[in-house]
Amino acid sequence: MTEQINEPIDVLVKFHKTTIFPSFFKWRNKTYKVEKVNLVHHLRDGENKTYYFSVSDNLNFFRLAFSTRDLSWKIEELYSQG
Amino acid sequence: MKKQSIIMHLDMNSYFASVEQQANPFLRNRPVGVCAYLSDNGTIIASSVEAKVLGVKTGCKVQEAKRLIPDIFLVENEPAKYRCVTERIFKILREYTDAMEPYSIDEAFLNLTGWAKDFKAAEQIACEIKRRICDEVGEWLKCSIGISYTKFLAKFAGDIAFRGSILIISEANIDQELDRELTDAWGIGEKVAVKLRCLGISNLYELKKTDPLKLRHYLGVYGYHLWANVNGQEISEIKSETDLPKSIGHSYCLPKKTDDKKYLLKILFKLCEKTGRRLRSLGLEAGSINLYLAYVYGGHLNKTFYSFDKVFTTQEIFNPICSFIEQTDLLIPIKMIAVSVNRLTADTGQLSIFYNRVKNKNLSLLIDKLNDKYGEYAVRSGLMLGTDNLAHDRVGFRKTLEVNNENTEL
Repeated sequence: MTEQINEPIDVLVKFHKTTIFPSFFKWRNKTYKVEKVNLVHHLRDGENKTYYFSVSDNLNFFRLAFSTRDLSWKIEELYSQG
Repeated sequence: MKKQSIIMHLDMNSYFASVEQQANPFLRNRPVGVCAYLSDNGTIIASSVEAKVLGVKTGCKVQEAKRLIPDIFLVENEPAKYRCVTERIFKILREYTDAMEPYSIDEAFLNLTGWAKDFKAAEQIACEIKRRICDEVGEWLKCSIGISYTKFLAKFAGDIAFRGSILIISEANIDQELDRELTDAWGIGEKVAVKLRCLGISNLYELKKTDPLKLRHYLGVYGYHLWANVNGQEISEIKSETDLPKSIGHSYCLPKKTDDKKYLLKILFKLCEKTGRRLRSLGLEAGSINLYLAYVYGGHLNKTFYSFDKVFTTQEIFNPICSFIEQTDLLIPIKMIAVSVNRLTADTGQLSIFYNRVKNKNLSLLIDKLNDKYGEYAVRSGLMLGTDNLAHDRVGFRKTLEVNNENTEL
C-alpha cells in the first residue's frame, strides 16, 4: 500500500566521496534505519535542486527528499507490503 | 583494406518499469505498469517483465490492464527519475568510445571501431558495461546488447537477443540470424512486410538474397536501403551527441476532448513555450513551425508554417498557430495536439527589416533567465494561467534526451 506523505523528518546522513546517504531518519517519533539506498535522482526547479532518495528497510519503502533551497529533509512516500 | 567497423547497440529492458522496481524493491517480481496517467483511459507506457507475461504490454489502457491483472501495481511516470538514471548509464558508455549516439531514453549506439580489437574484445566491453550498470546504477537494471559491423545489424542483434544477454552478428552467422520474420527487423512494419511478401519475400534471409534493383524498382530508395541493411552495408553512421537536432517539439493528449478554441489555445501556448525554451537553451532558431491536431474519431490536421524571419521567441512560434486556429472551423473534437519547430540553425542574430526582433529576443532570453533562477513558469504569459496541471513534463522515447553532463551525484 502506498501512502503519499509530505512531512519534515530528521535525518542522519553518511558522507562518502561525492555522495551522501541517509542512514537513519526520525519520523513521527520513530527512528528508522535505512538498510538500502536503492536509487537517487534529482529534479531542478530554478536554482533549487531536490534530491530524491528511494530507500528501504526490511519492511518498507520510503521516498525521502532533500531540498538544496533550505537544506530540509522530507518524507514524501511510504510503501508497506500487505 | 578497410577495417571492419565494430558497432554496439545497448537497449535497457522494460526500462521505466525496471527503474521503478529498482527504486522500490518491494515491486520486484511483481507485475508493474508505468502509466502516462493513472485514470482508466490512461495508457501503459512501460510494463515490467512480470506484467508482459500476463498480457499487459505497452499501449494497453489502464482499465484493460486492471482487468487482465487485478493486482497490477500502477505508477505514474516520473520523467526526471528516468532521465537521471539514463544519464548515469550514458556516462558509463561514454568511457568506452568517443562516438556514442543516444538513440532514445533507453537505447544507445557505440562505435567501438578502434576501441575494441575485434568482436571478442567488444563482447568483453559489453560484459563490463552490464556489470557496471548493475554495480553503479542499479542491480535490477538489465540490458540487451547487440554487436555487429553496421548500426542496423547491431540494433537487430540487440532486439533479438534474449533479455539481458549479448548477441554478436558477424559474417559467419548473419544468414542464420536473418532466418526470421520480416517485422523482426528495425524499420520494417506490417505494411512494408505485406509489400515484400507480394514480391515473394517471406523472411529477412530472402530479403538479403533478393536483387537490389528489383527492390529499388518496387519500393524506391527505401527498398534499396532495406537490402543494404540486411547485407551488412552501412548506410547511416553513428551520430555524435553534439549534432543539432532536426526538430524540437512537444505533444499532449488532451484530458478533455474538445473543440473549444480558448482551451486549445491555452495548451498550445504552453507547448509553444516548452518548445521555445528548449530551442533557446540550445542557442538555435527555426525556419518553420508545425502544428498537428488529432481528431477523436480518427484523422488529423497537419499544418506547416514557413517564416520569412527565423523563429526564436515563444510568441513567434505561437502567433501563426493562433491565427490559424482562430480562422479554422473545428468541426470534430480534438484528442491530441503537437507543436514542433523545424529547419533549425544556430542563432545568427540576424535583424529583421519588418520589426524589432532584437528587443523581443532579449526579452525572451531575460524571461528564460528568470525562470532558470526562480523555477519554471515563475514569469509567464497570462495565456498560461490555469495550465499548471496541463501538459506536464513527459518522457520522450526518441531523441529527446538532451545531453546533460551535469553530475547526478551530490
